[in-house]
Amino acid sequence: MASSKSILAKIFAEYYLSGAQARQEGRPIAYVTAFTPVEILRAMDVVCLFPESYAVVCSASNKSQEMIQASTMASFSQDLCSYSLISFGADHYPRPPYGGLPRPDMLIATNNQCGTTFLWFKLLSQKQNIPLFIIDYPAANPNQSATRPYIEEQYKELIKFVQKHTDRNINTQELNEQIICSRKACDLWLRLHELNKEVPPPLTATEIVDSLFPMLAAKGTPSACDFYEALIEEKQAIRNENSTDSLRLLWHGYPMWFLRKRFPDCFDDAFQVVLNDYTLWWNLDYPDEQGDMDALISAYSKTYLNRTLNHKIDWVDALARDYSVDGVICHANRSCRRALADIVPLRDRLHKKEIPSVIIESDMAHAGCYSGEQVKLRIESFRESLSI
Amino acid sequence: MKYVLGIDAGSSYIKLVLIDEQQKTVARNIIKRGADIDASCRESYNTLLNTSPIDKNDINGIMATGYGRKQVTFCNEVITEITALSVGGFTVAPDVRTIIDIGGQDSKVIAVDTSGKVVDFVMNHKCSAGTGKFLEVTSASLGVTIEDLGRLSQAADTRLRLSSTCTVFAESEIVSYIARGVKKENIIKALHAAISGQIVGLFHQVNSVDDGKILLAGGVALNEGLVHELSGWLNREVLVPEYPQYTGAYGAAIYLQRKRKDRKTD
Repeated sequence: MASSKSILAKIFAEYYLSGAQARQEGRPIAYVTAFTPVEILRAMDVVCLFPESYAVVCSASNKSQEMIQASTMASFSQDLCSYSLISFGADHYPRPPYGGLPRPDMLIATNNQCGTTFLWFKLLSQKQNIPLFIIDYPAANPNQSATRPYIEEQYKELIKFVQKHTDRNINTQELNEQIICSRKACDLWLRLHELNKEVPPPLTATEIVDSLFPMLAAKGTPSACDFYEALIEEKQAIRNENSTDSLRLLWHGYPMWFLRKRFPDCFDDAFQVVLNDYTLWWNLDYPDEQGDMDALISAYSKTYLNRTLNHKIDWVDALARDYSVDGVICHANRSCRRALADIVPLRDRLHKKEIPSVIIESDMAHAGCYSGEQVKLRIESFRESLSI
Repeated sequence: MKYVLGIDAGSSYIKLVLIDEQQKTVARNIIKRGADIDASCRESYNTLLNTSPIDKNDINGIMATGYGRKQVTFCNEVITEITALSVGGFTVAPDVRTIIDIGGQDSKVIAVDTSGKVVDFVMNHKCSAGTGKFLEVTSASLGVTIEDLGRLSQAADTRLRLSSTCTVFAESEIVSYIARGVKKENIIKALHAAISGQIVGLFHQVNSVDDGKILLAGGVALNEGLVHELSGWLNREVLVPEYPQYTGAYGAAIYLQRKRKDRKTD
């Protein structure tokens, strides 16, 4: 079996070459938001590119501040989401990483994760005259049967939209296989996280966060499953001999992509993040043995940020117990209003359960919003309060 | 007799407290922080030694805290301000359950339990609104010293509002009030209200164990106008220790002394 590292490198290279290759082969390109049902698009031979993921790459390449500054040339407010600012800035930035994303033939946006991305895509559509399709997901509730026909109708419209703009039909066999692969990738993704229930945890939070990419770029393909299978096998083979006497932490919310380790440099074997709940947002609920539209509706309507506040708090609370954490670090991410709303009620719940927590303020991608000393002081103080 | 020194290397001032084996303060010193934090701490340390009868050889431990704690090269250990303030505040007043510190660049609200252990804490947002820096900048705008703010605010006769609690915006609002001929006493009271509003916001975010007493630490606590205003906003009595600006340094010294005792017991 190939190593996880080599599979990941291949997925990464294929993804960033896919735009240029699609242009050569005459295949259509779509910009999609993070939780778009890409299985439908890929089963129609559409190459899917994720501008949010591109913003992550720019941020991780230390370009966020310059690219966000470049977005001011187009008069964008600096209060907007940093992913969108980086993306807007790429148009005015001389050498964006990987040369930027190629111009798409269509834009597909959803509101099941973020209330801003579909507005961002709307603006792109208006400015560059690119056809846009928006899928509206009502907030997830236990009674999915009420919203299912509404979402299904939109999926049918999406297929018609793609047919209209590409002359391509959906390959239902391919769709079925994609969905089965997506479910398998999610199962493996969850298994990878669950390795960290062990004491000591075999994976660092950085390793998990840096393994997220295939869940976007290659979900629905065998290569994503190959990657996670290889990584799990590798991690299971290594017995971590580190001390077991450590403080275990849950990092609630987004990582900080611009940091070398994606998290502040304040953790070690005795004080470690064993789970970042953000990465588990990609563990979508594909029902067993289903490869049809119902499976997609289930998966994409129950995304984390599309859930009710109570559900989200219950979920994080349960994770804190399942992973036996000693404390929770809540990242108040300036860019994500939806995620910000959870923090105060979550802290109240954790307090009732006697799980200490601390809030740190920053941003997922904008390095200029990170005050290293302030963040470190809060985390070090938290560590002391847990230790004494 | 052996002594322990606590150093609070804050963003505005360096505070030193020397305690004896009974946790009694035997000497203290405060100086404005210079560009070189370590040099400032040494200078303060030398002054403390020169002005007290304690022999340097009788000081058997130095604990540093505060924003510049890691720059203090001659200390034995460091702790964060949260721990130092909780220990210092709780030692001064054991019935305290909430400690508020308005520092030069950070404001903190710390909840402690009946044993003084930190159960939760919240710190100010990234901007300097709600910190000592806010008062420093705005008092300079008014042409008054920080020491005079408390006394002047008592002569206020109108309640004004500073609509923004951003330091830069507040400063421009102050300039605008001055241009309109508004009494500086009223502006100062509005400043105290603005800072109190920020602190109350933090106070309500912290998960306290009960409604025990509130202690205000930090040099800002010497401003009686602000203490009065904050007490009004909280609708609670706010205790101020005799030397509020030394609470962190005192806590650092106590912490080190206890740690050494625990080691001996082990």
